[in-house]
Amino acid sequence: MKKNREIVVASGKGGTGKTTISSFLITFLWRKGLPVVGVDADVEAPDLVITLGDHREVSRETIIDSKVAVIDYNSCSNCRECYKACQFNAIEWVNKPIVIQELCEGCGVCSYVCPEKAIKMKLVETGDLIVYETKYAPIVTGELRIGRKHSGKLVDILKEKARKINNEGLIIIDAAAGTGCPVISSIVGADYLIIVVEPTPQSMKTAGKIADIGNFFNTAMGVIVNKYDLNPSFVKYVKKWADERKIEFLGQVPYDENVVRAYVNAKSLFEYAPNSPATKSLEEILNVWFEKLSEEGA
Amino acid sequence: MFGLRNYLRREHKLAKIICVGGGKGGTGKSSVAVNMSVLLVEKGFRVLLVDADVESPVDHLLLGITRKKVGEVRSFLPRIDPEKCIRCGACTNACPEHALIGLRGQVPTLLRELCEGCKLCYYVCPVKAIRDDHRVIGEIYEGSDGLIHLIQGEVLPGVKQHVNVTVATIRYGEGLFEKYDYVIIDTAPGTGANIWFPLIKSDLAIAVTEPTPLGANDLHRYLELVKKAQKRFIVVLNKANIPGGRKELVKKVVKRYEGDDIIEIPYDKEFLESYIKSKLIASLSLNSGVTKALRELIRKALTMLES
Repeated sequence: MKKNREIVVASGKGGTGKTTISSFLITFLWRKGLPVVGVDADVEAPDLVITLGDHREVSRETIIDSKVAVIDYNSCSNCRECYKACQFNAIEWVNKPIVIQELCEGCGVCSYVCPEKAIKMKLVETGDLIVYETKYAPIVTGELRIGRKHSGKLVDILKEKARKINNEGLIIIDAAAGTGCPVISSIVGADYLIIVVEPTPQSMKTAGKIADIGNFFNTAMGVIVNKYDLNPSFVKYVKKWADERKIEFLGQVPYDENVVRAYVNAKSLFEYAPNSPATKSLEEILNVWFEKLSEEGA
Repeated sequence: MFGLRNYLRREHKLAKIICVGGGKGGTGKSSVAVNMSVLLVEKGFRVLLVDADVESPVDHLLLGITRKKVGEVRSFLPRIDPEKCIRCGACTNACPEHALIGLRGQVPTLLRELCEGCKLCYYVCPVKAIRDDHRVIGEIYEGSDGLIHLIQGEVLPGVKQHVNVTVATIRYGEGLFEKYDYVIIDTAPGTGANIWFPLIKSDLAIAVTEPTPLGANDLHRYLELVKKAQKRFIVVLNKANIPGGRKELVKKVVKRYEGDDIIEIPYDKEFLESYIKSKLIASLSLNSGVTKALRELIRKALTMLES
């Protein structure tokens, strides 16, 4: 049996409340007395610790796991083989081949095809891996070097680190916005996927893609409608959507100013406003969800 | 490397390119991009809107445009001819993603999900037993509401190469840039390569954020990227007056990057409603705080682009 349980919170669209709900889930599990580690997998815009109140950096290491092509122009014969071979548009031709480092995948095709052996692959920094201590749980997070490509790789490394810190508890993964590589890396291997949506067609469109990814990996899924009262009549549409896709409808959470107030005051939502509307409905949703999960896990 | 383009743009009046980003999700990037397009059209300019948020493209919904598929983005996918394969292991050793696996003496198996399409296996195969099995990784759409022309990229579900689709979408759009006065590129949240590419193609960056520690934190990363790309920028503070907001945090970041005055868009139920119901801001009252702020943004952007 796998020892860890991994729960991913994702949405596709940005700003739906992934981080707020991940953060609440962490404080919820802490109150249940369960060992939990958080992973902030939004390495291009990491914010999870901010929503958990006081935090302290306990370790930071540089991850060097990316490669980029470097061309030695003294040996280059301008034959264009590298330019033709690169599948990632990472070599531009301006009288000579120029590597756009940000687009370089590090695969080494250019280096291989170069007849003059003028291209070397150089190891470069992918980003930092940081572990924070918070009141509720250790949080593993990363900061991708600005403009770099390998966010998926960094997410894999963060998850590995979290499993080492906590090898028999729950790991909560706050995924990045989008549906691309880093989000797929977040979902691979997860036991449960919580999809957070807003009551808008824009949000549902990308939630559908997240559900497709979840389906692809056979992940159990549930959906929460956040800020539902901005467009209450939309909720029945989400319910139908969830029904058709065999996704559990977990519940709805109202728009609540306390969410912003809490992190502005550097406190978790639960601590800042234990009786606010958002806290109450999240508490209710997670209680039901958690009971079910425990039954299945037993 | 982009100096030539800038020269051509000045001399031959190529379209001015504005990219809209900001780091954090849900701050209002798409709303700002779409409404800037509407206001520029109102001023009589020819406007092309490029929706480069290929992971969650929604601009067609906001504009009420029925889009049409005009192209596909493909990627390399190896197919091994078992007749030709000499089972040497060269491709399995070379594959950077370990998407080709197999013991020596076996025809390698492909794990499609891991393949990034780099084509290295194709080149290293000594007997040319690998050919391109093309796979579609994304789609490109076009549409118009009669005033604004839209180009939109969309990555297919479960595909990892979203950066390739972003690049292909912008490359597709570039072929049309000359027909327009202004090109607005709506970008994804984040600060990775899929934001970098549209940014280096642009003349001006609009950074949309919100008055919270999260907004400020992500803006900081975004402006670092803008600085690296050596672009000018305008910061738009959306939902500027939300209760308990921390405007000063955003101001501090802007000051650090020596930015100009911030454009503040007030939090407005009507504006939010326009997003939820997919209606344009143009349908709002002319004197609302939101419309005023957006007009001020356009004025500022045009002044910066003309100077």
